[in-house]
Amino acid sequence: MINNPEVYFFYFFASIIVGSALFLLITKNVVYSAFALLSTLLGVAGLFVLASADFLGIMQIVIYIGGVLLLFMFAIMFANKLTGQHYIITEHKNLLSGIILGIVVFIIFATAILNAGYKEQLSYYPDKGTVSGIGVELMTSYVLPFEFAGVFLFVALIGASIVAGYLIKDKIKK
Amino acid sequence: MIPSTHFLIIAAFLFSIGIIILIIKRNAIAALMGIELMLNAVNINLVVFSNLNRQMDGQMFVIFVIVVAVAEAAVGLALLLQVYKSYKTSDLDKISKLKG
Repeated sequence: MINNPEVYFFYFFASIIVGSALFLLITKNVVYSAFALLSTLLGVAGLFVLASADFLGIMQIVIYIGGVLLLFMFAIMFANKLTGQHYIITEHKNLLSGIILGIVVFIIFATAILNAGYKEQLSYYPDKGTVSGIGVELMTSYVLPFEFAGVFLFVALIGASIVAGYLIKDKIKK
Repeated sequence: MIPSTHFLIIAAFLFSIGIIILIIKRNAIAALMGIELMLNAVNINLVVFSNLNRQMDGQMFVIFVIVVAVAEAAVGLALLLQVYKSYKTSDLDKISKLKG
């Protein structure tokens, strides 16, 4: 069954995802969990590429690893200064109910997936990019959501900078 | 050729890990990380079914999901900084002023 190289790459990225997600679950240091989130998102980008969505893989790396992780690190560092701790250790509470709920959700999803009878195999086109297709779709049938996403990001940017900006202004005054 | 079930199982695993993180971690930043994991699991599913359907619709939806996730993370972390400023803590159980 295993005779194509992309299967090996799939298991490589899947083991990255599983390992770093479990580390993100068990670690108590928030900085460590930010870096575990980084490698999890890197593995998800690899899965996107293997599902022949190469533009989304690059977008995942640029946006999540370049932008969102930096935002998380900034938030951790700001919180660090205000609470006066050297590093942030989070607590684990509700352990039993959380783990039971997670396992039950996983079992429900897994039985639903395995009983659905998806026999299809993902097709991988190494020589066919999706960038031009996504560009054409964005400019024809998705032009209204595209413009709305632009306005939405603008509103979120202004809101976030105003909400967080008061904090920095107060810190400068002190 | 990778079986699509393996992708879906990985996505389900990621989603349940996100739920566990959201419930057991008491730091607000860590809880936001759990939400990001759940959004990524949904994105994997959308990409897989877009590939099976030979259409672009799933990938377009993933783009908009990523946009919303980024906006949510930015606004959530900005609100979190204000919460830190007033409560001097990040513990979700200690932010309980609205509790009756």
